Amino acid sequence: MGMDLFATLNTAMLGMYTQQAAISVVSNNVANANTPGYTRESPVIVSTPPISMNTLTQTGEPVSFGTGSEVTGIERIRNSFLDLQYRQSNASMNFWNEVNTQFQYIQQLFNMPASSGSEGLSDYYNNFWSAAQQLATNPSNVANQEGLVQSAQALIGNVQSIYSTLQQTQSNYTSQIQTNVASINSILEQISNLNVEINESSNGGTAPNALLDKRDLLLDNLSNLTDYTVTNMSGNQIGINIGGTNVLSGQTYTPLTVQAVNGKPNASFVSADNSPVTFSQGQMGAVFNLRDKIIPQYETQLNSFALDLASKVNTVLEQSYDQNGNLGQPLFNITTTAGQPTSLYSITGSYPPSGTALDPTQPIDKINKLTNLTPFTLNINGATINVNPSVDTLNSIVSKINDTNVGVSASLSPRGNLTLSATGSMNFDLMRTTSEGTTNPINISDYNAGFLSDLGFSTTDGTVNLNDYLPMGSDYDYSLNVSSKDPLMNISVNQQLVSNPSLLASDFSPVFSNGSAVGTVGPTGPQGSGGIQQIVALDNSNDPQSFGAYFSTLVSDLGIQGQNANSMYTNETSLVNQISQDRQEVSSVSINDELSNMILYQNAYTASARVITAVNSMLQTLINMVQ
Amino acid sequence: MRITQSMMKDQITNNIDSILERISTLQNQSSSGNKFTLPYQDPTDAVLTVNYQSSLNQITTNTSALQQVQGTLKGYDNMIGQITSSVQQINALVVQAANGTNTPADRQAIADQVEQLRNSIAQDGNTNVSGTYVFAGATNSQPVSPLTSGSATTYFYTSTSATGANLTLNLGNAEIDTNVTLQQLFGYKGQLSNSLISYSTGGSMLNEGLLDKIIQDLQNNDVSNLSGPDLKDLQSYENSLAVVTTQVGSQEQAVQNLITSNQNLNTYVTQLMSTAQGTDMVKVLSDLSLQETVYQAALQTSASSLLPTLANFLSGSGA
Repeated sequence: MGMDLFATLNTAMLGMYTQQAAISVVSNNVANANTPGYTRESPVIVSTPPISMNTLTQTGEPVSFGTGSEVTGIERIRNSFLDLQYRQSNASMNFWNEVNTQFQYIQQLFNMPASSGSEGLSDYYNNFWSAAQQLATNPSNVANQEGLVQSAQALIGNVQSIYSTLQQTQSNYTSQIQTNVASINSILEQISNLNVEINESSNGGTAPNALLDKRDLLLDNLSNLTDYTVTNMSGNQIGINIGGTNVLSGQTYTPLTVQAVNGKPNASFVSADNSPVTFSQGQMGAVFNLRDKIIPQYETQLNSFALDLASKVNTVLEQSYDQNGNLGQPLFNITTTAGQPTSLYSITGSYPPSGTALDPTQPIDKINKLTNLTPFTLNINGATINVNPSVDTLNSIVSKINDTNVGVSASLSPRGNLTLSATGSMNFDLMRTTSEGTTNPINISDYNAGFLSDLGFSTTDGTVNLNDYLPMGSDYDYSLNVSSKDPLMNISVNQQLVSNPSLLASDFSPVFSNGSAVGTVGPTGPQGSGGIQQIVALDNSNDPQSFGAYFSTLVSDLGIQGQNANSMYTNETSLVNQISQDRQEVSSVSINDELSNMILYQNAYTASARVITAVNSMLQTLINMVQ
Repeated sequence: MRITQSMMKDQITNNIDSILERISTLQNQSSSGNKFTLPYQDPTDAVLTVNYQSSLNQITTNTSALQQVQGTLKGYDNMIGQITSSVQQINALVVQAANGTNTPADRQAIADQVEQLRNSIAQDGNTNVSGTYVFAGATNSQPVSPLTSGSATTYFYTSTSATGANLTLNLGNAEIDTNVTLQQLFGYKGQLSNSLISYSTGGSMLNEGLLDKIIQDLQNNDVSNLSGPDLKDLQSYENSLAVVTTQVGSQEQAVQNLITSNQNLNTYVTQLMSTAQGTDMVKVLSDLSLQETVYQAALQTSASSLLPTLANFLSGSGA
């Protein structure tokens, strides 16, 4: 018998319905061509189930007749793998974008090399050095004395201004963390709400394309702020995990909170439900990295420079004689605040005393007090240094200690007193005091060889008693205790020298008779410039510990890290652009594409309509036959 | 590959942005004359620039210190010249006085002249340049003092290790002597004395200077002394002063050499710095004009490529 005409009429009608539905998808795509986050849709057109029927000619074998087409759904054209790639690279790009921007700011802050017409940190130091050299040329000239004090003030002022700007930047980051956490919470809340709606629609059987698009856009935005992983759950819902902590699971989310640390305004961290959340990418990753790693690194370098300069210049001046023949005053006041924690920055041997000077270029067994020494070993914080008293000089011992690079640096005063200081890697604290207040003093020992005790260090069995050098200790006079927090902010230029620069001591000329390693030193007169020349010589370019070397290191750190941040940012940007293009290739609306589809659908619609006309005419024919 | 309108828009925006960024970098280079404004643009050259800047600063400071020392040494040179001519006058006067035809009154007159010359020589020892007594060694107080006994006034200086201190200035690896002391200026090895002017070594005892002895001999009419040891000692002094003159001269020469070498170094480091920091203008300008051409081409092609779609060519109900 076969398909009857009415069934064919129905098939054609389904065709028109299908094409109509398809045109509506085209229409929606074109309308959303410029909607952010919109994923182009495509109608899922399937043929309706065929009907098996016997035909007149083949009664024994039924034939399958098609019954038309229908739209079973509208699917989003999207590649979830590209989404994943996009979000990962986007988080990374945002990380480097933030780091790169901030690095350019930090570089401008240091202003080295200075842009024309301005002065950077190294220029301030150069001015200080020039003032010292000028004073050395004519030490009793008041203008020269004034010049040195003024340039010291300008230098310390500049170091402190850079340092406090860095601190300001850190507290800006802390408030940026607050803002970003609020943004993340808002995104999580929106996603959890969407999860509810998506779940409901999915259960109803319809694909909630618009809601899925919204959620994908929110996930894209979340990748600006942080890295995260997504897990798929039942009913098209998702869960989100940031840095190992689950913050969203379907319909429930755990809001992130910023936890402040008592007494440390810039140590706040983020937690969710009492477990800490770590961010490694995105803006949040960058902000934490800048606040907790990069900026502290430059703060340490500045502290290190300021403490080193202030303590060395002070030592020279305090052992030199002023215009009146008195031992000099320090140029810098390095203060601590009562009640605030202090760090033991350096200790100094008390030998030689005032009036005696050692020749640091002679083997140490030429020094009367040390003639009995046999070859011995120094232990500085675990590093061993072998000393042969008939070969090694004070100078060579100092370089040997500095070469070990174990967090203790050595220097000699003009008279030849040995000073051991804690470097930045020890937080400028020989006691290694932790934030809880427990100490772990650095071991400095000569295994009872007598060297350290002969040089006037307080020792027991050859090991230096660092406790004696603390503020309440018996050898406090031979130590420098600095503020544990921001030591350089507690350095100022001695007001007595500001008001009376002529008290600046410049005279230091020891007398060594007949090649003796121990000489005498006393005031020679106001034109003596031996002391100030030692300050000039602190910047000996051959010495890797010199102040000039600080600036080389600083600029090269800034430059190389900055260059890295810049090229990472550029690379990540082009990667994100590339993935974004790939994603758009799949998901974005092409007008040409849509319109060609439209023509197809339109033609099919017209054709189906034509079939109805034909069937109609066939029916007419049939009816006419009956008449 | 599927290309959509929004992809083309993004691509074009990205490309034009990166051209603009290159143009901005090049314009910055051409207007500042520097290869970089921040260290990240060229870390190696940034470090070099900072180092060269501090070297230049040191060289400039050293040169200015050397020029000061040079000025002081020129001063010493003049002063020694004056003293030399005064001593030559005294020598002539003593030769004149040693002639037996002179009366005691003549010798008294000569003694007065010698006294005048001695006073002026002694005053030269107190030369003060901008607050500094140049012959005072490490001290900075008037080194020559008058001593009056009765109607006679003489001058003496104090000879200690401080007033006799030789001042040196270390500039890099060079150590230069910067002063001449009164001990060097007036001291000599002679029969009668070891100094032209009287001096004390700190105690109350005064060691009589040659000029004071000559004045006494003139006043005492001691012709044999005048014609003998006095003249001989004057000659010894002139010889020793000639040595000091030579020393100052060679010091001046050394300082001049250092100034010249510092100036050469200055030129050299300035050149190095301009290589490290300065931009290659020819390259920047040609790059700039190339980028500008690319930019214009990009704008033109974008303007034409963004416009039409199939919609423009459909003859549907609307078109």
